[in-house]
Amino acid sequence: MKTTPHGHACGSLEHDISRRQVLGTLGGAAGFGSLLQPGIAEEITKQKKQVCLIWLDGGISQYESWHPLPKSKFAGPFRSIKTSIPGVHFSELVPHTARIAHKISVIRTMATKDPNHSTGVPRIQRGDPVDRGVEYPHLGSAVAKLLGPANPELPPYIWIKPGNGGFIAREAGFLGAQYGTLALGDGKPPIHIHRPGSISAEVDAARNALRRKANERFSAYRNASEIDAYETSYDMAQQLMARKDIFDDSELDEKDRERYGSHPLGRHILQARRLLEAGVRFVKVNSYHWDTHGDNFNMSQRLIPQVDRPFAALVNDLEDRGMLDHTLLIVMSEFGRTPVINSRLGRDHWPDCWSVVLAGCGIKRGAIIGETTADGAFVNGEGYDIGHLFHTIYTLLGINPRKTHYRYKGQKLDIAHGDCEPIREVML
Amino acid sequence: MSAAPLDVKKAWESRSIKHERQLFRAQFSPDGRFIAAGGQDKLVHIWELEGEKKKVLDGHNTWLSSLVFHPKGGKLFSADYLGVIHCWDYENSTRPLWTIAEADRDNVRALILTPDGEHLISAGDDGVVKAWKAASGKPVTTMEGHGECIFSLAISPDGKHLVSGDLLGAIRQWSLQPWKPLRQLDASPLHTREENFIADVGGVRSLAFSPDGTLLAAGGMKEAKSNSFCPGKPTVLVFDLESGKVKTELKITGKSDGPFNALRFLEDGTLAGHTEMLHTASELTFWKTSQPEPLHSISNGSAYDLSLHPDGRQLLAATYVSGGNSGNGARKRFHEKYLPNTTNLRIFSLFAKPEEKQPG
Amino acid sequence: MFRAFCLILTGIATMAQGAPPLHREIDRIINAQAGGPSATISSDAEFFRRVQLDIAGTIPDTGQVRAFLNDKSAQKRAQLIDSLLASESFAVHWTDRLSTMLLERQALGKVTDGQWRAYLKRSMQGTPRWDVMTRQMLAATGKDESRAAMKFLGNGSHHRLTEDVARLFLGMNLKCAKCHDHPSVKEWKQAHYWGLYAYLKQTKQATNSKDKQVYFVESLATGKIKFQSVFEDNEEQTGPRLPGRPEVTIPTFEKGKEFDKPAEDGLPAVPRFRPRELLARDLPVKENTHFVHNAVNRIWFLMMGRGLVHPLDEMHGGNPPSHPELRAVLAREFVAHQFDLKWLLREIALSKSYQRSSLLPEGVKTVAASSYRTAHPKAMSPEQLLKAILKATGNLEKVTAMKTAPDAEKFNRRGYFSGTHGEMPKSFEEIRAIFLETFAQPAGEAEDDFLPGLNRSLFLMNDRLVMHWLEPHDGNLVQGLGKIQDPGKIAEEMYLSVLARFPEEEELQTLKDYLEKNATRRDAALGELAWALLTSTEFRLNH
Repeated sequence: MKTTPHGHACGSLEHDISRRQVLGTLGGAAGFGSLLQPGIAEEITKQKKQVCLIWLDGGISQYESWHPLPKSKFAGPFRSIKTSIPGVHFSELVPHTARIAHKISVIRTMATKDPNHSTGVPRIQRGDPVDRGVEYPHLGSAVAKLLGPANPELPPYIWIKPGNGGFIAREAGFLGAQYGTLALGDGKPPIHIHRPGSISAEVDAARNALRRKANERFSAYRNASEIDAYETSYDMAQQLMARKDIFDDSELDEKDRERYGSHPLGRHILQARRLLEAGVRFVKVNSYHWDTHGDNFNMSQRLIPQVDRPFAALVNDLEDRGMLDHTLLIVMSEFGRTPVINSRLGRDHWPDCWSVVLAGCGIKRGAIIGETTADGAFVNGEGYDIGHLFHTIYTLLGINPRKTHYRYKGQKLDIAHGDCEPIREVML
Repeated sequence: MSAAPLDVKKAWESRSIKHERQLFRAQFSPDGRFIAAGGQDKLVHIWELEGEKKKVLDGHNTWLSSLVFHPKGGKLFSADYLGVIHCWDYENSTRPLWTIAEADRDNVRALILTPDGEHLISAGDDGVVKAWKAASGKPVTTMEGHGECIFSLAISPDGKHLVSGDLLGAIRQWSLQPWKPLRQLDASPLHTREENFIADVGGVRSLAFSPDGTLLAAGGMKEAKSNSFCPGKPTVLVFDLESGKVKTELKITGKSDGPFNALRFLEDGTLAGHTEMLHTASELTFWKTSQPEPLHSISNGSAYDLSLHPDGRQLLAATYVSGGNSGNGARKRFHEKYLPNTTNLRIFSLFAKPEEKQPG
Repeated sequence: MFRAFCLILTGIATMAQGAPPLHREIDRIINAQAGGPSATISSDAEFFRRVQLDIAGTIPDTGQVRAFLNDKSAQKRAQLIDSLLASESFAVHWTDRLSTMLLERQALGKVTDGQWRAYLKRSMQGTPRWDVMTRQMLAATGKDESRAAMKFLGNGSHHRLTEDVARLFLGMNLKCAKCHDHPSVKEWKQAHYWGLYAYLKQTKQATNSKDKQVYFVESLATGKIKFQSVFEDNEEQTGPRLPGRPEVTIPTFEKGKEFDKPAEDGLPAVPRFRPRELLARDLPVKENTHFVHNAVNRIWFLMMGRGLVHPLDEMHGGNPPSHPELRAVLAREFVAHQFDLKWLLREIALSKSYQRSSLLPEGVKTVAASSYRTAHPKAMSPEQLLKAILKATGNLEKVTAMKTAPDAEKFNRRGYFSGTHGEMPKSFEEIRAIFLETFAQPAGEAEDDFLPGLNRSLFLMNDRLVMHWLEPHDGNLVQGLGKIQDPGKIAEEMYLSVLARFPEEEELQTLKDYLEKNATRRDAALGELAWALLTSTEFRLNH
């Protein structure tokens, strides 16, 4: 067997089975270290790579954000403004990001395949690999599997989203429920992380001591694996309960709140910063309703600033904290929006040529990548499919997508589309 | 032609002018000789109806948001999404007479002239109503009160009152002699913000006074379902100006999912309005304002502006025409044919079509 | 010839007169291969709890435990097994088990859960013949009383059905063979996947214009299925073919004679060649060793906690059974007894191998699960866990009787989990849904192994319902215990109720100490003691 730092990802079938027994649902967390040879575990912890994916569900219009092209016949009405990179312009709707453009990169030539939502969200978030008859994990679950937790006390994959939260398994695909995500509905942790008011900390400790005592007795003369795994799941639960401060937004600094904005996306990106600081490996922040088929320009005017300001604040804050070099930031959607403006003054779905913003963790600073036709409608040349972006992401996280594979039911599976390559021109 | 009796039920398309880009504003000149139109291509287009001579005024750097003729003719005012207003002597020159560089902090959304032609009034994203000397573009006064973007303006037939409508559904009534706020009308059904929205949707997109000055029609849409497609129920609220209350709520019978962008009263008190529909046909609708149901409707593409000819018998609609490329990508294969949508400036004659003499 | 729905009767060949019954054969083979000491036979209490959970689906109540422990009859275990197999609870519990196995909690098709469950229950109440049930599910058209069995066909997705038929009826996880030959299992070919697919390709749903009901019909097969490996350029093709069987020749008919029946009431014409019907005829038969081996392996797994072939859907040469002879005997006898599930369950339950203690033999530190030298602890299904918790805490009757008013607003379950809604569930169904959401695997995933989860433990630690059930009210366990003074009696009631056994001296002492320390908050302390047992491994597992 290969002993790459991520050798566990290509473990044998038997190895897979025993892991399923030891790990609890979403429990990449505890237990994980014990699966790796000690040297390997250390190496991964040392790498300390983290990811924040800001997912704008639907599509952000590239013309109204990162690729304004005011002279294009497809341009909208907004100004294009100078950025901190000489000669590069963004839309006036992203003034804060324009000021930190020299710290980030923009790929303006994403060219993906799917113009539909039903398949677009999972296809993009799974990296659109070759169909091997299995359901691939979304990026967050994949990173949880491939890197494990950065801080063993915290789940490796947390998803901040509007609406309801809870433990959501479906993003894990064939990796299994334990690589699902802890979702914070409107930024709040699931209710079960809170001890009911009727149980004091003291009582909680006492009742858990009783439980442990009962388990010690029961496990003394029995085969260990299930029993240990069960106890571990309680340890993990208590660890998470002990760290619930990181979910408490009343702890957030008032000035920070103002810098990030009081709208949900602003609050959630600020919360993402906090979770990254606490050592969560992968944080996804979702904002819904970025699908401006109608009234695109009035909506963009109101929506796009909601990502601009907190994203720029996040880049600056992570840099100030010395975290940007090991934290990869991604701002993306399912696709871009059509150059053609429709009857409702909206823009529809456009996979042919759109923009993704990246920063940190080995991404070049101030690189604006990709050549499009003058009107911005199409890529000049090939463009980058989502598979290329996944190769880039994995490579930046220290995972070699050529050498690391998933092992599922005896089948060796590429972690990213086999025909794609990392996008070297965006990497340091 | 003008002698024919008004009969919207027999309205017919008497003329149309095509343009290769989407135009959002189209107006008849007060003498009826010209149509001015503007939109995505940043130009003011002037068509002389007799002889179809065409002129282009190039001075804006982005989409046009508003176009209005001086009531006495000779001058045309145009505004754009960068807050610039130009005044044009459109018959004699292709250069602006004067320019207001930053009429509004962001965008000017609406322009109107007082009936006496003395003042130009503008409003837009900063929520401030501003009055300018129509002759010089010199500022006269500003009126604050709207907290949000203003989309629409209208002036009463007697020239004494101005109304302005905003995104949140507030309509403010102002006195023009002297300049001062009067009262607020509630058109808040035209604004929607559900818990899961991340933006306000809708707004008072159009306003029109009835010819006798007793009614005010406010157009937009109700009950928007999302801030993505922004689909809603096209609605006109007709206010009784004496009480300030909604008297009738006008509906459409066909399918449309966008707001009423334009409202025009005809001389007999009939109201004409036009809305938008995603990808398919919308309609031009006529009502007697006492009845919620339309008197008549004509299927038409989505339209963004209506203008009434000085003869009171012709209605101009800046109408969307699909260029065949709307809807979701991917279009890489059709690269060469990927072009913007276009416009048809359709003129509807509001009376029975004269019988054509059969040749021979 | 293709119309003939040919039911192959299995021979009634039982074992030779005087030959040992199957449960003895099981023990003989397991013992012969043990290679080390085995655990003792389980105590009565251990056996009683296990067999109740396995056959009747839940833990016994205190009265039942007492009665069984006091019963001095030598035949009491066998008698218990027979009476449990005859009980209503058996049919209900095995409806849950089979439904979870077959549907994997996916909401499928037009048949309601109620109709589907009634079908399974009816089958389990009679003589549940696995070949017949399998045939009913595969052949279902929606026309007769087996309409409910159509649930398995779901909405007729050909790929889902191909994968599920292979996995659930043949023990073959062919997912990976959809796009190429299986990379690590040499004998699993891409042709296997597409051969099964070819049986199902013509199947589709159609609505009868008269009764407006959805039926499953087959369209005209126009030729072989073409497929291509993602790794290779050449295209292959196959007609309907079961693994290890010859390919079915797709017949050609004279033009105009392809159909048995013309189109009627909005349903299309019925072709003479109906491959799905052939699948239903030819798959569940004794000659199909994949089918027979898979069936006995799955039942063995459900009772013993580990398949002779494990994982269950990896039945191939590279993953041989731990006890090949046992598998052969189980298969032979299952066929001889006409695929009778109940008979097989009974024989397994009667074996000493099933009845072993989960305690390791003396001096042994660990035992491989595949040796069956000790009882292997099993996961409780979400349904089992809910009922067991309710029963243990004395809340079962009250909670199962909870119903919502018909006009009540729909319970906001997502809100309950995110804490955005303070509202508590008002019906047993809502509570059941909360447990399924927490303890069930996601729809489409098998519930084979015990998977303790962070969220699952958080739930048992902090859930408002669970806490409420441990507060004294409505004559529940904690209220009852509050009325008893003697700590010895308290311990006895609590242990019998939660763990179905008497407490040991050390446990009694722990309880006494805890109650003394918390004398001023006795009810709360009783709840905490019961909680500790409820969340203990001993309770959580079927050991």
